[in-house]
Amino acid sequence: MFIAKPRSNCLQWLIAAALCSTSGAAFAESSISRLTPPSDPSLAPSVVISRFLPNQRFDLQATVQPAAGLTVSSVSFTVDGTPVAPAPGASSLVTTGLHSGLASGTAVASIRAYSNATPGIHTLSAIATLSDNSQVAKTGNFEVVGVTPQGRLAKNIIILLGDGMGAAHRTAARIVSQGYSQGKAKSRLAMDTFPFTGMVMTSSLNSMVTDSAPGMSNYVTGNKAQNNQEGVWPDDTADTFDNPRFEYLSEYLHRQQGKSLGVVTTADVFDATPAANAVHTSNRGNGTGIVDQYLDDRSLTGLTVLMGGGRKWFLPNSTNAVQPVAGVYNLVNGSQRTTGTDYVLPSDIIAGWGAASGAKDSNRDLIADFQSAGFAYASDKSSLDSVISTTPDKLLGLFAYSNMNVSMDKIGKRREVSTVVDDYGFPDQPMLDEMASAALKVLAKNPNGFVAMIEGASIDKQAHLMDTDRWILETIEFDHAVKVAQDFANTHPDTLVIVTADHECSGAAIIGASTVSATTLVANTTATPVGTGTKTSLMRDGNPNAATPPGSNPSNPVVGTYDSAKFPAYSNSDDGFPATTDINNKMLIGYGANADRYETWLSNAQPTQDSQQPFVKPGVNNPFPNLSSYPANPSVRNSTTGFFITGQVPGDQAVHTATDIPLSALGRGASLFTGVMDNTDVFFKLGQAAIGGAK
Amino acid sequence: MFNLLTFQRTLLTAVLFVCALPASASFFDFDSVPADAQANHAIGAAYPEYSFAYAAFLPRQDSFGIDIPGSERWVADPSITDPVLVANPLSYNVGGDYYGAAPSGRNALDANSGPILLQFSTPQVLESFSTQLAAGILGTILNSSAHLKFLDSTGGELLDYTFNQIALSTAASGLILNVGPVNGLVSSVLLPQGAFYDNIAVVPEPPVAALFGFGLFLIRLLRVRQS
Repeated sequence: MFIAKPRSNCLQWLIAAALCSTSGAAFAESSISRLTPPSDPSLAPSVVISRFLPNQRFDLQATVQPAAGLTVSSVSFTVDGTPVAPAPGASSLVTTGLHSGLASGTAVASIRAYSNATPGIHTLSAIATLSDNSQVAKTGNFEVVGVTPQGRLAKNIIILLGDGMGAAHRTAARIVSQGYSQGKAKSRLAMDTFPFTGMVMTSSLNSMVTDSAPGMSNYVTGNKAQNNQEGVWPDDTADTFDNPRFEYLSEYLHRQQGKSLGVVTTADVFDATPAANAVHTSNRGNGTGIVDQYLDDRSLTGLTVLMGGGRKWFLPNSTNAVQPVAGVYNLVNGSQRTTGTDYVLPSDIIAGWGAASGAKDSNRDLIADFQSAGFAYASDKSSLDSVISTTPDKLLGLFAYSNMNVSMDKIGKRREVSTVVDDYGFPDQPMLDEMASAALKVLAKNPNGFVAMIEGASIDKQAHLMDTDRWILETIEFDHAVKVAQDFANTHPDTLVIVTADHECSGAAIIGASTVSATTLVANTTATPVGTGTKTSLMRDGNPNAATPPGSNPSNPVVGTYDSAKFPAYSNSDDGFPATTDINNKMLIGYGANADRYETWLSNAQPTQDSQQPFVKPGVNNPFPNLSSYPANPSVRNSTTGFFITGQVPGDQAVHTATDIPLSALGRGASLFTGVMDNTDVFFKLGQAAIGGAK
Repeated sequence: MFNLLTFQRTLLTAVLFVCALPASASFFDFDSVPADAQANHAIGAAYPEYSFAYAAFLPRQDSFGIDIPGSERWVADPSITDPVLVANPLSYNVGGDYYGAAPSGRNALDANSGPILLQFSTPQVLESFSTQLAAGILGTILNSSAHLKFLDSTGGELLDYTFNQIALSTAASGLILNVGPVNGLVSSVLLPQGAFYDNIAVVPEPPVAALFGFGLFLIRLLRVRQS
């Protein structure tokens, strides 16, 4: 007799297994998948991820993913076991507009603008109650870093940031601008003379290699931001302006001490570094909303000075479209305002932070709105000189449609040897030191002091493009601005000045010097290699015919290393820049984070195209058609005249590196800035100097 | 011949006379000088035994000039050459209302940018110390309180008086802090940074107790001699 039971049991198990596998989701537990501020309690007490000054404001947030069939009824937060009571209207439970891939019924709970005055490590817990009355919780921590009252305060804080400026960039600028003799620098850069030096670790929240958004934000918030994000933590909503925030140094000191904020840059003012002093967003590319918030939230930041490029975001755009459209420029004022990059804030942020609500308004005349708010406006150097002669209370300067031209091209115009700035439509742009001087004059009117961020932005941009001569001159221009700040601190002893960078760019290295004259370098660009010679053998090895045995025609490498490098000797013009960078035996730079490029060792007459410029694309009615004729990127620049160097990274540009960068400090509290520090540590040192004083 | 009874009567008379004397208070309202003048000029010839200086929390140094960790105490900051100033608090309201008016007159002692020491040329026992504050933001950022400290000649703390943050940060002008008595010889008083101080009153303890105690000692001594 056949016994079927064992087989039916087996079948039952198989059916059960199949059901389980297909209904796996139905049995997934509810969870809190994200608790903000981010933390790793296992590292405490030696390392705490999220830290704050006493009473520095920040948002609490939790993402609750319920089990299938459930919804989130409520979420509460406790700190050290005590429930957190939000201010009226400053909390929310959001279930729509979330990222895809989350469980059905996911809710993001927020309490805005929380703060804690008690120094120490605190336990943060989120407790979610589900629709079946079950609960799920998650616990993290954060630290309030105490401030020690110990002396007179730093009333003014000046942060000079050389974007992408690593040690090699500083050294190269010193060699070019100051010169060497028998091993000694003949004189120093201004930043070299600062008495205190430290090294800064620059990683972001999500990568050892940061970009400029967290690169700046980390310095002025004390908290790690994710790449592309500034003044916020990541969240699970699609809106890029509603991320959980943490207070900027400017906001904190304006609220606590009435300080003003000044932002000066050679970049477009929407760019990551300037914006990451005042604007909170998870998308550094949202130009319209970013620049709108400069003005709209000036009561939070104390914004008093804003200068740089970026006029394209301030002009009305009646078309709400980025030009050209189908090859035609329907709008020729240069505006790139669009509702797609604009902002509207949710009610809980408005209530909690006192932030402006915002509006999607591509046709806003933001320059006029700044002027209505009491800002004097300068459109070029001449008008800046005129405006500053009466020292206005507030100052807006917009000197280009997007990024300002670099110093090589600005100086070229002043020397009447270049028309690049004319091609861009802005022939009269100020230098960074001129902007810095004007900014400090305005900011010094506030008896409560100020926070100023002054950025040499295109050290980075030109290093990305591996345009050696341009980033060297950018570094020199930046050092001129450092000198302005140094002079200010010398006459205002309650001022702290730091010089630093957000990250290193391109892995720049001073590899040696040319062993041949500038004339020979030029001749090499058109010379034809013979035999089996190549451009590389010609322009790097100095051997036009690679087949020639070294013994019969010894190679005389163009690239002189070690002893052959000697000391390149540049001469400066009265304007403080080298008369030319194409000298005999010029310094040569290599790149450790390079993309493909053609190298001639010579300066480039034209800058590489800047994709951010509104008129860089060819099109009908383009008022600045020459821009599209500039070299598109380093992989095609000098393709017929240079020798090819294979990049180590994909794409068209060199990249940032994770290398530590030097920080120099001067003035009151400068002694705090020594040793190896994290970029978030800098914030707490600034806070100590401004709130507790320094020895 | 020494007459004990006469001596006792004389001593008692002297003690009663001294007790009848009022305590000699010093009072600073800072209105005798223009705004932004030096605080020491404001108290000037009338109170030569007092002076103001910016304070710093510094360690002692060994014979090699090296800081001794853990030896920090409040002293006049040797690195600061700027004098302490008086100011009209309202002049700091640029871009917002951060301070109220001085509680009396126009000026108040400007401790906005750092802590200040009120120094005594001769250490004193204080019966009381009081000051009025302009409305402002003191105490909202330094942990949860601000500290008024009474220091001896070595910088040691005789009394640490903790302000109430809420009371200070939202107070209308005229909030009075009144502290005392302070046991021990006070050489300086530390005024926390971030505020404007007006109508400072320093009331030393009169020599009553000392004189009375000395008199009792003499009486006892004489009785012992007589016996």
